[in-house]
Formats: sequence, C-alpha cells, structure tokens
Amino acid sequence: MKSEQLFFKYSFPCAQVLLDQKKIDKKTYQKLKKLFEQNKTPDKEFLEKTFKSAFRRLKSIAKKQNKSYWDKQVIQNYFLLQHNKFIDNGDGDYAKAPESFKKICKVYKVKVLDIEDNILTVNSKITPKVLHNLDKVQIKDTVTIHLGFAVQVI
Amino acid sequence: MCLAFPGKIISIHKKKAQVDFNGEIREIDLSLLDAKKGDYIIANAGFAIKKVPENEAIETLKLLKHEI
Repeated sequence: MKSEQLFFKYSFPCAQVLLDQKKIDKKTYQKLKKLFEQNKTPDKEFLEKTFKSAFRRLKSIAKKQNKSYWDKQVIQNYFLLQHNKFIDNGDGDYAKAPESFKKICKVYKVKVLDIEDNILTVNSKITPKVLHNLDKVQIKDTVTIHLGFAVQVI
Repeated sequence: MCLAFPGKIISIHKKKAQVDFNGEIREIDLSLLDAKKGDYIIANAGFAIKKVPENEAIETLKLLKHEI
C-alpha cells in the first residue's frame, strides 16, 4: 500500500467533519467520497491541502524522528499511536470537547464479530457497528476503526 | 478542531431519519444503531454512527458555533 493510500484510509472519515465545519466545500467532499468508495486515492498535494491539521501534527512528529512526513511508518504510527494522544492532550481545542465526542474521534483496534454487506459488527462499546469497504476481512480479524469506519485489517 | 457535528432526529421512517444539523435537514440511515425521535446522533457519510447524550450535544454545538 502506498503512503498516500494509507493516509487517505485513515483520514477520509474526518472529511465529513471538515465539511460540517465548512473547512472544505461540498465539491471537495464529494470528490473525496467518490474516490474512497472506488478504493482510489487523491494525490499528495490534494491530501495536504485538505487535511491540514493532520499534516501539521505529522510534520512535527516526522521532524523529531528526522524522517519524511510521507514516510509510511510515520503515518502508520501517527494513526495507531500519536493521534489519540493528541486528542487526550487537548490539541486544537479538544480539551473543551465533551467525552463522547473525543472518544468517537479516536482510532481503535477491535475484533470483527460479524459481517453483513458493508457493515461490520465489532467488539467496541463506542461504535458496535461500523461501515467498511475492506477487500479481505473475516470474522475474528482485528481491524482499526475511526469515526464509524473500518480502516485497516491489522 | 476535528469535532463531529451532532444532529437531532426530527422524524423516522423505517431505517431513514430526518435529522436537523444546526438548521440543515439531512436524511440519515439508521442501520448501524437504534435511535428514536429527539435523540442526538453523530453521522458520517449519511449513516448515524453514534448516539450522544443531549447535554454533550448541546455543549458541542455551542463550541462549534463559537468556532465557525
């Protein structure tokens, strides 16, 4: 998987939030949604322009590790480890956010309990059912979830 | 700030709900959860993904209005 594809799989669920907050327009959102549904990926420049705060954090992490912020390992670690810490530490006004709103923004590793078309039942108290368009997923697989979407089989 | 916008369910017909997001009414699919009229939900890509307590929804709406 290319690094921009990995980034897009994790960040697409946030596009709805960016649209609701008018940080991106409807046209941009529709473009992202269409690409996501077709399992395609926007180019790096478009991703950087759209998901500004994720890249702000990625850049600061990559700099400390002396790596490129497009390094796949940097992106994977960001979404699996640091992303939730940024939320817990109240980055970008998260501090003021109520608990259930912070929880839903985090990335979790969960087990797949059932599969029905584009819906997975998972062992999560926060979102027991999530949407997915994963190629290969089976019951008992561990997947990551973000804002109601299954992102990646781990 | 990457805070999800909560919406309030106005009406439900089968698994489709009319939901008020800060004055904008959108049709939202309720296949992922059980919800009733008056509940606050967070939606993504046309699906309700989580119910949220009313007090937290109102608090978040205030924060977001301040933000935008």
